Amino acid sequence: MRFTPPRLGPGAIYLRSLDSFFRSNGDLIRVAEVEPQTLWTKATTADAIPAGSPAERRHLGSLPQRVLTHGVGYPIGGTICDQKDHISEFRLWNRELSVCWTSEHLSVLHVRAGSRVHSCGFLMPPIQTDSGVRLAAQNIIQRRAALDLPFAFETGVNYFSHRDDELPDGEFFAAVAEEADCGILLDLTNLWINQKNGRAKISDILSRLPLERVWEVHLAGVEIERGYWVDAHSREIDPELVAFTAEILPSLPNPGAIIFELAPERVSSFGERAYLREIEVLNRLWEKVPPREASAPAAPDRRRKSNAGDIGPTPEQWEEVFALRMLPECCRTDAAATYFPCRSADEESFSLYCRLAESFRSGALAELLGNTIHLLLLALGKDPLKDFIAAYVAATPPARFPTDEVVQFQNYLKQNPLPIAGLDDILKFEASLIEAAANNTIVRLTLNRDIDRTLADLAADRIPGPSLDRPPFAIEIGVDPVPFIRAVPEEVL
Amino acid sequence: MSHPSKSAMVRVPANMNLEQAQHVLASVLGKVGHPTCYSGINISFVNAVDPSPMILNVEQGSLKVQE
Repeated sequence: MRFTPPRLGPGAIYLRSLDSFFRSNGDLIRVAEVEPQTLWTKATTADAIPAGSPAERRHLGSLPQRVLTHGVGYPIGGTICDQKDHISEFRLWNRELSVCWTSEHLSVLHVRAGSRVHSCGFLMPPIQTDSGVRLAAQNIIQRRAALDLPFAFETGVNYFSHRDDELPDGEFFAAVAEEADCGILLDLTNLWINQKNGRAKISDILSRLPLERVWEVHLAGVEIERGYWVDAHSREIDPELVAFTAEILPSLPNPGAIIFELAPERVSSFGERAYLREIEVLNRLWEKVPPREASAPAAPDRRRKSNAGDIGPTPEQWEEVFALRMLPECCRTDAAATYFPCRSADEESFSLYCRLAESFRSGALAELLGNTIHLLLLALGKDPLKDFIAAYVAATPPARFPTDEVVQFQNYLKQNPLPIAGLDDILKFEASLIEAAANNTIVRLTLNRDIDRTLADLAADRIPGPSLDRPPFAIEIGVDPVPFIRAVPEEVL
Repeated sequence: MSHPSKSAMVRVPANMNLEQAQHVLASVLGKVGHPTCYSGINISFVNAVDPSPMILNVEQGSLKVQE
């Protein structure tokens, strides 16, 4: 396969909160990279398959930008790699948005523990051995066939220090790309972070990559967490990284897009002016992309000739370690990992990974159960609330979709009740909103407090008082055709 | 910077105000999807619990962090 991506230009990750911004800046933002799964909803039943809405696809289809898709949640670096459940929806989005290539993470997300499969709660790095190369390449070949679309993998961040029994990062990425005959999404921020954390020099990595396979570049802002530089998508691109990117781009013969990434919860604090400045930076960088040669020289065949050096853990053993270190005790099996290569530096890395995974889980609760969390904060205080959430995280497995996290937290609170006036009602109310949105159904619930005054009290940082108690009354919540909340007349009760 | 603009319709008896509830419903609708792909810390819970910004002092040329 020799796919040459069209020159689409500079762009950014699409967020719902940025929709009108994208529409009014089509001249500067020429590519909207959509992460479809972030726009899908998973129903609250355990085996539900996430899906998006046709109306939102049509809405995205009217963007002034060319659209690319970037998968999240179904990485291609592990032994558990979905090639079925999410494919038909993903194909539908690619087709309706006229996507010309797609991408996913060269990472591990799901691991086995006994007979069950659990999410680690965070994208973990794949094992960088020859067997890891073969596994990733097979996954990519299958995914590309299932999607019937050119495919690129993203070069990931890796918070572990380099191991003697693994391939160097550049050699590993190159081997996967050649073996799978696919494209590379060169996330320069990830590689820059790996360098700043002492894992691998970015120049070494680039010297080993088949640069003609780089179809896309990602850039984002970084920050420090627990002594590590992390890929936080939190701010402007570091000027040092901008300068480095400007040096690299002229050596890439086939880039199709350069994309700025910002996390959704950072948008409001980042601001429109700062966002525009980053887009202008990308436009200036794009000018460094060399003109495409009329007849590009044939790429050398860098296919690996042998499996020499295939030492170290197997992918299965590598994932056993993740199951042991990333899953809560309730999900682990009694068997210890047969290969347990933990060095002292690895302990620090696992501590960071667990902290980051916990932040995603607690963040999902804060975003979807904001008033419940606020009531817990007012009633318990900051540190006891943090302890309560930490206990919840330690006792339950991570969920892939936040709707499942809400259901799980609601069940946990039922099993671990807290004597806080109004908590039952506010949790029931917020969980019902999620249920109505996730299942696209009308949810009826009975409350014992004036919900609006309860919410007003919370907004004013007041613990809702007993004066808000009232005889039980019912409301209905729905989202179709438009979101609504309505009281149920007494005669219907 | 604009925010999600899904409209919301509320039908309630005159003696019951659900305006706050409707705002909460509108605010969660855009957040039920899979998290985006970054590999850093999600600050939503930190912001909810302690909105005051953390001040970090980073020694130049090192990774040593002092809070």
